[in-house]
Amino acid sequence: MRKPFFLCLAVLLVLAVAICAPLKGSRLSQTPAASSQVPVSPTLPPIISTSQIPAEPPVTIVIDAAHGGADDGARGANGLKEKDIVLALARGCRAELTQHGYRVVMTRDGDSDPSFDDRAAIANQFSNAFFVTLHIASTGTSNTVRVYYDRIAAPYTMSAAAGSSVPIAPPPQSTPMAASQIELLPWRQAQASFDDASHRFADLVQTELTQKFSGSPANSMSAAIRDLRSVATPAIAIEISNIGSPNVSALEQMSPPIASAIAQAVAAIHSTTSANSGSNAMGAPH
Amino acid sequence: MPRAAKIALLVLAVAVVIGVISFRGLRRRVSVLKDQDQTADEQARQAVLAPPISTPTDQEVAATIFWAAGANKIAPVQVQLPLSADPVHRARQVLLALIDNPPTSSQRTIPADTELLGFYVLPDGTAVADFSDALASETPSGILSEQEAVDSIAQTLAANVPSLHRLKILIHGQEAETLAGHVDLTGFFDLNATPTSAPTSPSGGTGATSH
Repeated sequence: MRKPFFLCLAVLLVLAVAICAPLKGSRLSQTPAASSQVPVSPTLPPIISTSQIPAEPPVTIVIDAAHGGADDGARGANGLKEKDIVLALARGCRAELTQHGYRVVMTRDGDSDPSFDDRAAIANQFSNAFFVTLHIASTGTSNTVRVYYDRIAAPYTMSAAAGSSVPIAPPPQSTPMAASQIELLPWRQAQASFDDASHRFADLVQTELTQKFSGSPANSMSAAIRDLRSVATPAIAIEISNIGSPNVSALEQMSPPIASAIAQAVAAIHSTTSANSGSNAMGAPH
Repeated sequence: MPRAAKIALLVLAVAVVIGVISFRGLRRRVSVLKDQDQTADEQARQAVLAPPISTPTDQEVAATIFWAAGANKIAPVQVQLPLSADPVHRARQVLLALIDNPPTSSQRTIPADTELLGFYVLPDGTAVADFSDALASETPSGILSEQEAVDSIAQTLAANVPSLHRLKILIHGQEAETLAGHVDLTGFFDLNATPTSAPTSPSGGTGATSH
């Protein structure tokens, strides 16, 4: 009676070993692959060596053609739509700024309508970036240009806000940082940390444009612009008057002077940043 | 040149001169009539949509209302108005004046069809102004025009109701993302950094509607 029992036990043991052995092997074979995600071995090179980190990431200019898709923006009596003119202007600016050597990214390059948050998310991928949103107004003196930076309201102090969970945007990083070094910005208030830099950027661009388009204001202005609110980089809005202008071709030909003003302002800020390397001249989160 | 042709030319020249003179006069007359029509329309609209608000504590004072003043800016205008001591009623009175009584149509910052549906003051001095859809749908689209509309509301409230701390604008009872595509309405607009008196109304502090 006992012999068959031991025989069965032996067969079961052999089967168990046969089944478990490949599993063990596969687990072991996975280990090196998993470990390649984390630089645990001193013999493996780190994911990014210090020699590979560029001294400074390239300057990126994010051009946002406002509106698009079902959102026409301002409409002129002559059938003009703001979404079409700003797209043409944005493409013109891209061509000019690329010639100046900048990397240019557009938030839309067709008749689409990304959300405000999608537009901001595109800009927030880049460090050392500048965000410019282009608009055509319904009002204002024809062929004048105004430059705006975001108007920051007083901090939200209502008790309801304390318990609310707001989306958080990490500030753009140019180098890997330890978790303890990462500063998180509330998504809907991301621009607040770049207020000074955006104001300076706006003033520089306005000064250039006022020389080119007489009647434009001498200084930039602040406004509560939804497009800029969640952008975590220096950001401005350029608004041209106006959609009812009888001289439509003049509106369409504004991209070279606008691009030139942006390029000069970015160069001025960049030179200051380079001169003060290590300081916070770009308006990094504070 | 035959005499008849000369006479015809002379008559034509005289007719052209008379036409030019009368055309200028006609244009002036059309523009005057247009202004009169707009004023009459606005008065009729005001009578229907915005009956004047009067309270027992009303006192005739020089109210400061912010209307458009040329390109790119708004400016204060002193207007004699009976204003209540109650902050909620006082705020409603100045906002109705802002919407209904601009000195000229070119100084208008808020669409004439706009109604103030409600006005409330929270205990922390936050004012909540609820406007009809016309504010969003009839304000010309653009940063300039939208910011002027919001600034004229905020600065008029700040100048006349010192107990208000900040402003939230609703459109037909709802929070709107933007006014007309540009200016952010999801946040608050600063009024008085240091409110000077009790922020809530003596009648309970939860505000009142204009209906």
